[in-house]
Amino acid sequence: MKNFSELLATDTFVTVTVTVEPIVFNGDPTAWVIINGRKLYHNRLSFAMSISVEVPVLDPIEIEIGMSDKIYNQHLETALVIRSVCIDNFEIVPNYTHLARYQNERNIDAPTSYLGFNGVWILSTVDPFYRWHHRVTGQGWLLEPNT
Amino acid sequence: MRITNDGSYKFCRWASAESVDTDENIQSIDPIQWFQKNLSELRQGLLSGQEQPGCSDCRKMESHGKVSGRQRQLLKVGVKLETFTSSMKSSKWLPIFSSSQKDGTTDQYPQDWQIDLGNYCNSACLFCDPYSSSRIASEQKKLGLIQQLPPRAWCDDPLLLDKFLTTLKSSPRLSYLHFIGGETLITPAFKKILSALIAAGLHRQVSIGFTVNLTVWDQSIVDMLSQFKEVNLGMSVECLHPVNDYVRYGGKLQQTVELLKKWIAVGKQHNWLISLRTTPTILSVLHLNTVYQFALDNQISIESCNFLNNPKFMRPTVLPQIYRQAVIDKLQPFTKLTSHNTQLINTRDPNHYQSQLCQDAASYVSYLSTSDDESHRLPELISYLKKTESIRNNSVLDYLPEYEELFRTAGY
Repeated sequence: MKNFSELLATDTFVTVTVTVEPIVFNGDPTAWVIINGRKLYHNRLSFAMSISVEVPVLDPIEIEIGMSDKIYNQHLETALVIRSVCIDNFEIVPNYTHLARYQNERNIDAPTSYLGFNGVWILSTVDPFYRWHHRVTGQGWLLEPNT
Repeated sequence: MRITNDGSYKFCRWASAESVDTDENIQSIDPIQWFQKNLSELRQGLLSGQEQPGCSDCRKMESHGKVSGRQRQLLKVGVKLETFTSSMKSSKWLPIFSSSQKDGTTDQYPQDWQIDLGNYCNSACLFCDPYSSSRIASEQKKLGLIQQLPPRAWCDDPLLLDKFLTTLKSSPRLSYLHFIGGETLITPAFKKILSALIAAGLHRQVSIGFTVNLTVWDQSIVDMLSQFKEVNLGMSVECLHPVNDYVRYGGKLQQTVELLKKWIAVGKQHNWLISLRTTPTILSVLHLNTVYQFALDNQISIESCNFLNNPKFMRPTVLPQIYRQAVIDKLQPFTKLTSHNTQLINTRDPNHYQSQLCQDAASYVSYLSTSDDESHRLPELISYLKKTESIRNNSVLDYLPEYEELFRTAGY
């Protein structure tokens, strides 16, 4: 990239990668992964899985990771563990797990990457990723253009 | 944007000496017009990827892992070098930069200012110059090193000061004003500007940055500053060793430390961003570690200025390699404080003072380890020291006996 015109002419994307791993002692959970409204997986999950997708750099990012069909058994566990959520090599789990919300049927909303209840884990940047990243990593105040 | 002591404009607070000097000055041209129109050629050059005169200092800092002015300013618009394309594409400023492509002009106003207020100063730091210190100016005139004292500062003219204040008040989204002198606390215009900003209600919107030389205190200024949205305080000190008194002539180490502690207390009380500011030179670098230790002990950051450019004979790289190793050995422990893998650009986040300290120390280790030997400048250094000592009645060897052989060889 040698100049500004080349920069403007280049389509730019961010890479979102999600890695999940099931706990299957009481059967395989049904898991789903949706990124920016695109359902990338929705099925029984027996083994760890990684999914990557490219998102235009100016699109806010919303990641949904869900689990359903768990039969609760106090002796045998079924769960879904979020091993990694990475956006352009920026790892969100575990240091920024608190920015996600976990909606589940037990209404337990403590920050977690362990989905032990039927429900959905959602991370939403609201803003384009790099603006969100600037804010959550404490990069300081921004100058705003006068429009 | 910068306004220098004589009222002339520069496109950047860090622009090095090779930047094009014009006589475009607050006396002859309105600051906003200069910013919006007269920088058109520079903007077009930057957008077309051309290296600009005046940007070399930043490139030099970056080559040693030291956070440069370029990196700091880019961060303020949401851009980082390591993710340049993506972060620039994401910046809210992209359409503004894009609109400047056509003819280099802009309709924006400067939001971030470097304001030089003249050379009122009660110190005579050896690495300083007559344009930045009135005491140095008097001394050098006595020594015959300069023929005339520098012209008075632009802000000593009430009409020009008023013009500038009108500019500030009419600038939408004014965000950051950084003041230097001289010593800001004894510079009349500093108080006048702060007072005018408060009267205009801009204290709720604007962050103030300034640096003190740790020789004076002015409670009325502290009281005014405490009203501002944010204050970035830099406290200038070269080391916590008696040689600080030799280099920063006019100061006394005991008083320096007392004022340091007083500023730190006030800064913490008002939640200011505080940092130690150093300008390492050949004379102070041996004890530079004492400043890092003080910063660590007091949980504050240290922000060394750009590697010294002028006077050339004061640069730390005038030390021969064999002498540099002692300095490197003293700084090495600070480079191991954290294992921060990514460069910290926002060096004013108090939560990351250790990482920032570590990074700053590492940049000096890199600089001293790899920069060319400039010991051929030693005779020039000795000549200058002998002249100043003839007026000051002191001797460098009283402070740096370790360098006796080195200095005597060079003519001391």
